[in-house]
Amino acid sequence: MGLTLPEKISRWLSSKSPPKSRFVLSQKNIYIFPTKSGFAFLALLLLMLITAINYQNSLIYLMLFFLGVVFVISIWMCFLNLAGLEIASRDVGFCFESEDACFLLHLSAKKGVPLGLYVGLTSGKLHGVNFNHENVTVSIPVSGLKRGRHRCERIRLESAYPFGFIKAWTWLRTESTVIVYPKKVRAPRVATSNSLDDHDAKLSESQPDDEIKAYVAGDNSKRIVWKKYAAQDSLVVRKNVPTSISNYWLRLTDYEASDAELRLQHLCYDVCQYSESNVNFGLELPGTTIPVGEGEMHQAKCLELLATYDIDNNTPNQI
Amino acid sequence: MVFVCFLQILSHIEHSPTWLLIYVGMICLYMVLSPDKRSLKKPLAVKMILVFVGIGAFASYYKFNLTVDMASSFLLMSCSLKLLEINTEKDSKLFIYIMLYLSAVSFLFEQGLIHTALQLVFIMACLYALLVLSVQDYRYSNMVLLRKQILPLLKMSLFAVPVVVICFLFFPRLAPLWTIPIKNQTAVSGLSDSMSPGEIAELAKSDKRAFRVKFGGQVPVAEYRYWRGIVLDVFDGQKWSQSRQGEVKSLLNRFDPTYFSTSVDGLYSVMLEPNQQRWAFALDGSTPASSNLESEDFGVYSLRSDAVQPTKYQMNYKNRVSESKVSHLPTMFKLTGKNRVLSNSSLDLQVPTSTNPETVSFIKNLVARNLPPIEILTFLMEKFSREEFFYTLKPDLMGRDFVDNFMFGSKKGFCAHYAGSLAFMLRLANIPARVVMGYQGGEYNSDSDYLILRQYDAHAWVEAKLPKYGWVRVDPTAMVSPERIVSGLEGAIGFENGFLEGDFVATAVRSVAMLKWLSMRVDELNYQWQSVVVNYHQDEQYSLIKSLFGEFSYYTLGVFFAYSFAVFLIFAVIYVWVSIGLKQYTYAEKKYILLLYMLSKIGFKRFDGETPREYSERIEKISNRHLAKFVKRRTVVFERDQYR
Repeated sequence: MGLTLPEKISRWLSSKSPPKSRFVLSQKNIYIFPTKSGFAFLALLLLMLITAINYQNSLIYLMLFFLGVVFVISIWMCFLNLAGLEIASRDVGFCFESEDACFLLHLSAKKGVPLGLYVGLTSGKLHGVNFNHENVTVSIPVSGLKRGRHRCERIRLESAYPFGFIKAWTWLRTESTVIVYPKKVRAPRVATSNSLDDHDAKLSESQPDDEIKAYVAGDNSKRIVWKKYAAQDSLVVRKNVPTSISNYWLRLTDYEASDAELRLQHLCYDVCQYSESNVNFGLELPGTTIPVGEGEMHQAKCLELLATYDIDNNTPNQI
Repeated sequence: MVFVCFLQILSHIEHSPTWLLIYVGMICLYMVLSPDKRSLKKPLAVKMILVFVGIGAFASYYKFNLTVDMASSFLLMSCSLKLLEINTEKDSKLFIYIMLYLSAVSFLFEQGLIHTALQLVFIMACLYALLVLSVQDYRYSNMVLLRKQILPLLKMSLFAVPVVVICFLFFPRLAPLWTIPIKNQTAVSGLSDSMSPGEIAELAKSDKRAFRVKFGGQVPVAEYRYWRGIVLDVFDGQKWSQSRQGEVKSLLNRFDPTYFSTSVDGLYSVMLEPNQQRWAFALDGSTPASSNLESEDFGVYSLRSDAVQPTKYQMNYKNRVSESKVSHLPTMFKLTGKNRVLSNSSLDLQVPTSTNPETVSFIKNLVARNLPPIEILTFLMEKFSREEFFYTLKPDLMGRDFVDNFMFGSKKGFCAHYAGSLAFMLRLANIPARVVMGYQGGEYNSDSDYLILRQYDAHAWVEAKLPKYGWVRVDPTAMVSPERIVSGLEGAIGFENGFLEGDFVATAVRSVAMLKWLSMRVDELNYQWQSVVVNYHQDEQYSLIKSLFGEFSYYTLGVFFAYSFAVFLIFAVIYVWVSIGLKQYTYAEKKYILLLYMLSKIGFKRFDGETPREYSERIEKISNRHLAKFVKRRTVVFERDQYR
C-alpha cells in the first residue's frame, strides 16, 4: 500500500469517526490510557510492594492497596469526567487571511462539568477549557491558513482529570469550518467610475424623509431607526433608501494590480468599505456575479465568494 | 506543596535526628517567607548554601553507615531540597511521588494509630495536590471549582475502603525477599543484654509498655508470671552478661502450619512493643506457636528479626505450676527444658577470681558445713528475710566488689542486687546458677482481658540447678519484698523512693481514677489496632483463610482474590453505566420517569404520544382524588423543569 503506520492509523481513525456536526462522548469514542506519570506511579507502587514484603509491614501494605485502588478508581473517574460531554460544531468561523482563524466548537455538559479539559487540533497545541458554565463555546485558533474554505481536521479533546495517572481523550472529525477571506489591502487610488467619496456626498444630500415600516427579521440592521426605537419601543426600519442612485459594481477587472491574488485583496477591502458605508453594490468576477445588494448577508456572501474564488478556473471553489 | 512537606516532617519526627528536622523546617519556612512565591526561581546562593550545609551535616552525623534510617533521612533531606527546585509540573509530580514513598517509609519506624491517621491526611493532601495539578491550566485557576473537588475525593476514598480491606486481608503475604536490618538510632528504654547492679532500677522510672499478653485460657496468678527474656551466665565480679557461646539454633521452620493445631485454651499471644531487640519473653512451660520465633539455648526464645514495630507472637502454654513447687520458699519452682544444650555446662559454675573476698570466705564456711545443695539454697534465701535487707530503688553506690558491699555492708538493693549476689554465691557453693532478666507480674486490664507489662515491671531472678530437681527458679526479691511479686512495684514501694520519678504525667494518670480509666481505654484501642492491623501477617492470614475456606493454599487465595476483584469490577462497571444513564436526565425527569413506571404498575399506563398534561387529565378522570392531585403536582413540576 505504501502507507506509513501513522497514516494507516489516521485512516483507520477517520473511518471510525466520520465527520459529524454533533458528538456525544461515550465509551465508543473515548480512548483511555495511563500517562507517563501514571506508569511512574505504578513503579512507585511496585517499590512500595517490595518494601512492604521485605519489612513485613502491614501498614505499608495498607497504604499500597489504598493507592492502588485510587489508581483503579481514577480510571473510571477519568472516563466519567469526559463521558456525556456534547460537542457541536454548527458555527462557521470567519477571518481574513493572515489573521488567526478560529474553529468554533460548542461544548455542553448537562451534568457534571468536565475538569482539566484540553482541546486542540491533533497537529497543534492543546488549549485549556474553562467550564464556568454548562455550555461553553471554544475557539481553536489556527494560524497561517490560506484564503479559502477550510474544514477542521481531527480535533483532540483530552483530560487527565483526577490525578494525572490516566488520560482520557477523543479524536473527533467535526464539520466545523472556517472561511478565510483575502487580506484586506487598500487599492491605490485609481480613477474608477465608482469612487466612494463622491458617492458619500450624494448619499448625504439625498436623505429623504423617512418612510418607515415595521421591522421584520432579515431587514438590514443598519436601517433600523434607533431614535424611534428609543421613543416608541418598537423596531422600525427605513423603507426607502436611495438605492437607485448607488448601483455600484465592483469588478476584478477594474483593479490594475498585476497579481490576481492581490486584486482579490483589493476587492476584499472595498467590499468591506462599501458595506460599512451602506452602499449598495454588486460583485463581478470573471465567470460569476453577485447582484447588487446590501446588508450583512450580502457582505458575507461577497466575501465568501472572494474567499473561495478559483482564479485559474474562474469559478468559485466548492469544497 | 510546602504544606505537604511540613506534614512529612511531622510524620518523621519520631525517628529522625533533630538537626534534620530543623533543617527541613528551615527550608519550608524559607519557602513560605520567600517574597517571590510566583516566580519560583530562588537565588542560586541560597540553594548552594542549603545544599552544602545539608550534605555536611549529613556526612558528619551518619558517617556513611548504610542503614535504612540513613536512607530515609537522605530521602527526606534531598526531597526537601527538591522543594526549592520545583519549576515545572513534572517537578511537582515527582516531588509528590517521593513524598508518598517517604510516607510509606515512615511506617517502618512508627505504626501508631495517630501516626497512621496523620499519614492518611498526608496521603489525601498529596492526592489533592495531584488533582489540582491535573486540572489546573496555568492561565486560569478556578479555585472555587477546585475546592469543590475535595468532596469527590473523599467520596472516592470511601468507595475504596471495602476493596482495600479485601486486598489487605487476602493479598498473599510473602516471605521477605531480602532485608537490610532497620536499626533505629534513637535509644529505646528497656532491658539491655547485660546487668550491672542498679541497671534495672533505672527502668522503674518508666511506665512505658514493654508488652501485652492475651491469654486464651485462664490467666496465671502474679507469682507464676515470670517472663523469661535474657539469660545471663557470665559474671565478672561486677556485671552479669551473656556468654554468647550457644549459637542460635532454629528449631522451628519458617511458616509451619502445625503451630495452629493446638487448642486455643492453652495459647497466649504477646504483643511486644518495638524495642529494637529480639527477645521473645515467655513463661516457663511455653512452646512457640507462631512462625516468627526461634528457639535458643537455655530454653529462651527469640524473634527472627528485630522488633522495630509492634510484634505479635504466640505461645502454647501448659500451666503445670501446682505440681512443680520445690520447697516452702515462695516462687521456687521446678522448670522444664532449661538445660544448656549447645555449650559447655561448666560455664554455669564460672566465677571471677579474686573478687568479693568477704563473700568467698562466707560461702567457704557454709560449704564446710557439708549441707546438701537445697539446704544451702534455702539458707541463703532465708538470709535475705532473716537479716535487715531493704528493697529499694535507690541503693547506695557500690564499689568494685558489689556483692561484698551489698551483702555485708549496706544491705539495700533492688532486684539486680539480690539476683546477682545470690547467683554468685550459689556458684561459689558449687551449685550451677545463672541470672535471668525479664519481666514479672503485670497489670491486668479486666475489661479488655489482657495483661500489660510496663518497663517498671522489669525484674531479675535466679535459676539454679539442684541435683534432684534440675533447674529451679528462685527469686530472692520475694524474700525481701513479697509484695513486689504479688502486686507489683507500685504495691511494694509506692510512689516514694523513686518509682516513676520525674514523670508527673504518669504519676497523675496512676493516681486519678478517671485518667487511669481513660488511659486503659486508649491502651485497649491501641492494642486492637496493633493486633488486628499492624500484626496482620502470614500466620494471621493463614488462620483467617483456614477458618473461611477450611484449608489454606495460595491457589485458594489467588482464586478468592480474583473473584473479589471481578466483583469489584462488575460493581464499578454498573456504577459507570448507571451514572452515565443518569447523566442524561435531570432530577425532575428522573422523578417523572419513576412516577410513570409506578403508575403503569397500578394500571394507568400512558398511551403513546400522550402529552404529560393530557395524561394527567386522563388520570384525574379515572382515578381517585388523592392520586390525581399527586400526579397533577408532579406533572406541573415536570413541565416547569422542561420549559424553564
